[in-house]
Amino acid sequence: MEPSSEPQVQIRLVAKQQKYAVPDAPIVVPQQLQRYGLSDIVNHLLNNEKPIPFDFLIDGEFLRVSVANYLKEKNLSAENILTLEYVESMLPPTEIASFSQDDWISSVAAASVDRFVVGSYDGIVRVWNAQSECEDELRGHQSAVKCVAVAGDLSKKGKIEMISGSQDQTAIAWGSKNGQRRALYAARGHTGNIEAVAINPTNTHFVTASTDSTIRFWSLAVPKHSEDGQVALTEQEPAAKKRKGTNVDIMTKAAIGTLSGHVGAVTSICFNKDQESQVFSGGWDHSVRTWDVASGVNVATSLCDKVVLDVAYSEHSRLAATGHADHAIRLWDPRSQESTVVKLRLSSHKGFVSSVAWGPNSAYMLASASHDSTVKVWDIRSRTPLYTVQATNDKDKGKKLLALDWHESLLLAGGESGSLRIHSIGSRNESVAGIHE
Amino acid sequence: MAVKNKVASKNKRSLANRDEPAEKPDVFPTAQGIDVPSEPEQSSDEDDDVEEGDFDEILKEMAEDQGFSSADEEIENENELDDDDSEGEDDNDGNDSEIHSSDIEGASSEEGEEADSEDIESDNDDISPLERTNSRLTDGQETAVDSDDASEAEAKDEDEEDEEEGEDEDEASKLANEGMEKLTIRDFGSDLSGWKEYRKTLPQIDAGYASDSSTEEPANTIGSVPIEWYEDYSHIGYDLDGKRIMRPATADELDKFLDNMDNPDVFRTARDEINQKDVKLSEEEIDIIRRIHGGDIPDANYNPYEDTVEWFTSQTMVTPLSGAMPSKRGFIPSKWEHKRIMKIVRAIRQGRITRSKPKSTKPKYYDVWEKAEQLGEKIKTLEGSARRPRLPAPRAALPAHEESYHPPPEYLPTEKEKEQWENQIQDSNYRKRSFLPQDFGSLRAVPGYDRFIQERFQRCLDLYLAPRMMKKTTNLNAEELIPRLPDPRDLRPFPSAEALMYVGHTGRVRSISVDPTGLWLLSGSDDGTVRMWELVTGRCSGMWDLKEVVYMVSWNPNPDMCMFAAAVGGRVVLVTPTGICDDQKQLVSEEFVRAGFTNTGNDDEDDGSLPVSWDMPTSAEQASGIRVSVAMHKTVKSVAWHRRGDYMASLTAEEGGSSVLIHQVGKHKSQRPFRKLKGAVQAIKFHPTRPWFLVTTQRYVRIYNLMQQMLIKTLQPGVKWISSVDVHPQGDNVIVGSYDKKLSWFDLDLSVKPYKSIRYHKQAIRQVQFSRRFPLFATVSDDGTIQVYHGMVYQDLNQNPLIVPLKILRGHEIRNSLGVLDCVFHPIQPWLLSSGADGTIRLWT
Repeated sequence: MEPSSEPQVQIRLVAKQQKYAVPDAPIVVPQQLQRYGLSDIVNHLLNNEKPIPFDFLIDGEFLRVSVANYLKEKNLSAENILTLEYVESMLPPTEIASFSQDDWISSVAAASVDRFVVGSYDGIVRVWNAQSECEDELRGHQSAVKCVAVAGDLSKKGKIEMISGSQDQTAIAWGSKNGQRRALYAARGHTGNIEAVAINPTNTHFVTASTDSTIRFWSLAVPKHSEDGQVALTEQEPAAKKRKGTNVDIMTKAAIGTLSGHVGAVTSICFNKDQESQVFSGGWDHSVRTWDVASGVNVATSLCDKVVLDVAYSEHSRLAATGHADHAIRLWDPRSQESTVVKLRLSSHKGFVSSVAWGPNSAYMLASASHDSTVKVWDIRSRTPLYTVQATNDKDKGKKLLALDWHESLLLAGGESGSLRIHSIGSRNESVAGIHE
Repeated sequence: MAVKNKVASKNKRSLANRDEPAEKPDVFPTAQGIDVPSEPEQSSDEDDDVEEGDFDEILKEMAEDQGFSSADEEIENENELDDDDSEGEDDNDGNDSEIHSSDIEGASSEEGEEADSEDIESDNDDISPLERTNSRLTDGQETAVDSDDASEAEAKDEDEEDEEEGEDEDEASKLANEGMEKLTIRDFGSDLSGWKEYRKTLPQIDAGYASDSSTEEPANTIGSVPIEWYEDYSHIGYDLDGKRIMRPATADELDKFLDNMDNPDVFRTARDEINQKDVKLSEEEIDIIRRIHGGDIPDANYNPYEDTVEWFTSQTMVTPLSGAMPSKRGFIPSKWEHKRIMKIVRAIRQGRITRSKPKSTKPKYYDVWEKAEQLGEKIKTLEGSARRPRLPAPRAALPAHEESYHPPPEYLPTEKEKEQWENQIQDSNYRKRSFLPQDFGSLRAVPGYDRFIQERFQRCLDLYLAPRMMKKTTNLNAEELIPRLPDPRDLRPFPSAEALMYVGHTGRVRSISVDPTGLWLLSGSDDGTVRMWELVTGRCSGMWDLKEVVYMVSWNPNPDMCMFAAAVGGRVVLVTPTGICDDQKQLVSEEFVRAGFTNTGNDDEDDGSLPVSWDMPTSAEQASGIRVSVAMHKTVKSVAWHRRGDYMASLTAEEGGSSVLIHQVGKHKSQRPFRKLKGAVQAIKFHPTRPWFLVTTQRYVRIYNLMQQMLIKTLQPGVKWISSVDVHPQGDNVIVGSYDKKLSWFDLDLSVKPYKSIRYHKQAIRQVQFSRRFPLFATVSDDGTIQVYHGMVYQDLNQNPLIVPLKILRGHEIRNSLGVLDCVFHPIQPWLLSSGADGTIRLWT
């Protein structure tokens, strides 16, 4: 190589994945190099015929500018050896399918890589398969379905497969009965819209969050008979019965417990997958609360000053992510005793962040959907989003996104346009689900 | 001696005084040579007290008094000095006598007079030549020469005759002769050469060997002790060392005899008893003795018949000249001056007199225009002066680069600029400058300036004819006029950005309302529909097509109910929407609304007078949730709920008057609280805390107490057309918006006049709205903007409400000169919802 007058810097390349390890000796590279150039160097060192894109981390932060600019920003000397950790960079999410329906999608949940449950404002819960066929249209709610949750694989028969919450203040558990999916029971008790529902990892209980500012805790099991309580009212109200139509006869389930503490509507709830009884919730009172559902105690309350629209907890990073009405995503450490500590505030969206989802296998990956019709994929080591997925269809453009789910390597998003956008995400080696249009 | 006394009266006097001290040496010989102490300072009464700071002047005066400054002043000064010293004369004389007595030591007392005259003359010798010249201009020459010669001869004779007389005497005699000459100085006349010769012939005083008394043999030192006292002793006294001076051997009688026989000079020998020796008398002494015997004047040279000297002319002269000799005192430094000076010196040393500050030197240059400006200032400061102050002319600008004969190339005009300049009207203000910059390579090449006269003339015209005016401007800093308000950033939260847009209406959205839970938004539009929206997502979850223009929608504020009223055309419909609240709430609402139908029959008579009918809606309408329709037969412009949700007020307005009705929804009863209303009613409102009712007419806001049925207050915003009114949730403050762009804030405790009037909108204000939860209020206007204010009302009654403009929200489009029509704050969050003529509703967070 001819000697160049460009400023150079010594770097040491480190990889955590053994298969990508390169010699530990420092090498001298031009400072002008950016991610792409560094990636080339690593590929060259690995003698890869087919280059693999790598991302580079310095002190746990992604390198997003040239090395020279990084040194300038951080006021670092070019004399020292810079240690660069490199990871295989994630491929940009690619839209692999878009299933369209008429009404707004309020919620999505992937049961497996080939079955997706979609709750819609027309009150129907739809089950789509990977072949873009609508397997089932589950009618039962009198009003818009606001949330769905999936209990394990849908292929298991005779079990509760999913639960949907609706504006008609009921949550309906759906399951296979006689070879056909139908409503198994209706969980009644809330006096407001059910905004969120979550099933615990062992599929024994579920919680619902409602605009009546309460969280209710239910068992998932199908009751032997209709549990009274709310039933009395139903009997007294012939009009209501009439409206319920065919599903009047389904069993009613009563809540095990009620968690009250929120001052305004509760908009989101999620389980801690490590601790069975721990639940996180967020609401209009700007609080993120940690509950112990077994005892019904509000363990901790963290406050910010913006409405919480969604909350998600990652068992890998042990952080809770919340989407807010001020276009920001906030990361909380629920273990922290100080109640108002926001660990990180990610802002790039231009609308309400209606939904957030952690990457199922990563401690760093986070996805968010917003009213600005974009899905953003974040690595929380970087303050800027890794990828921004814009709506591709004209139909989707400018339409709000209301729901998001990340299942394995699939990113599902749905919203105002009524189309379920399915993106494949993850590193190249991970197999993409066999979704075919 | 008598003649001598005539010479100067003063001298005579001094002589008289001198007699006493002259004798003193005999008694106190040791006193000789000791300065007689001068008179005590008590005599210095003539001295003025020296004042501090007058030092310079005093010194100057002194210098003048000295008489050395100029010759012209001499005489005067002399006289002054004479006068000054008149009191100290005795003292001066004392000094004189001192000199005298010392001088004549060893001389006979007879010679005192001569010595005196010598003294005077010797004093005269001290006169500076110039003065002498002046004083002797009139002396004759010849006499001087003659007398001079004579005196010299005489002096020589005397020297030869008697050596014992000593030098003193010689000198004295010489000077005496000189004095004689001087007595005749008048004879010199104006002949200067004569004077010069006379001057040359003056004898030189030479202190010879003989004058030294140390060579004389030791004299008897017994003093004036009578020699008889030593008759019995072998000595006759003591010498300076205390040794006896032995008596010289005396001749016996035989020797005496023989001596008498032999010595031819025996007849002229006299015995000196003191020294105990014989002294041979000189010829001169014999002559004197002889003269004395003969009764003559002992001095042979003395001429008793000398001519009189006319010191003062006998003729009367117009300008009498004094021939008097200049006073001796004129040449002696004045003791009194010395004392005065010493007094000043002491004062300076003690610091009582300090040197005055040096005067600041004025600059030699001066500002030509200074006076003109000062004049202007002076006249300006004269209050009430009728004269118009003269204003200084503006100064001509200094020449710049472009006026140079050889300007830098960038100042030279291009061809285009030249052409442009030439095309411009001459002597007009269109031209940037009155000339074109030109480049002459050197100063030599510069031609004469052809416009010089013209330009000077213009300048003169400007100076003298151009009217100038003095304008008084106050130096006001704009920031000082603005009241100090807190930074809007410190007043968060407040709506600042658009978050959501609710799209669906096809006509103007005239009214919006948010339900008490904050989840549902209602909107009524010109397209005849009422829509219900999910507030957070913007999903339209309900729609009622009522076919007529919806003027107003309003949720029932009772949180236990789920029901709203919509003013549609000539009726008000009460709707209980389905699917958004729980069954119990819905049941309560429906029952509440419908309860009136059972009571209708009872109060028919009362209702007959009112043009109101409570109707059951059609079945189709009932299916959609419309429970009651209240027909009013006139367009209902506005409805307002009481805070408990049981009473509802409606405003119907058409040509020919407006009417306000209050309906009791639970009983389906209506009443008309106001028989007659002055003017067109614009808005109605229930007071949030008190049983008050606000009726807004075109100009006034009237507040009625419904319980007591009386008028409480009439607010006067001072605007022409009120559009909207809202009451602060605490009830003590009212904001009023008007079509003439003004927002007025009333504090009901203060006055019926606005506490503050704000005019920020460019167009008519359509709606004003308080936030129920946050200290915020907003105004919406036809200019398409929403203005959000911080309106903090303090519990402390002494503190006035704080109003801070926070944010102008833009986004709504203007359609047919209508912008934003309605706004409402979210009941829980600091969010604002607005609806516009463009058919959209927007959420601002």
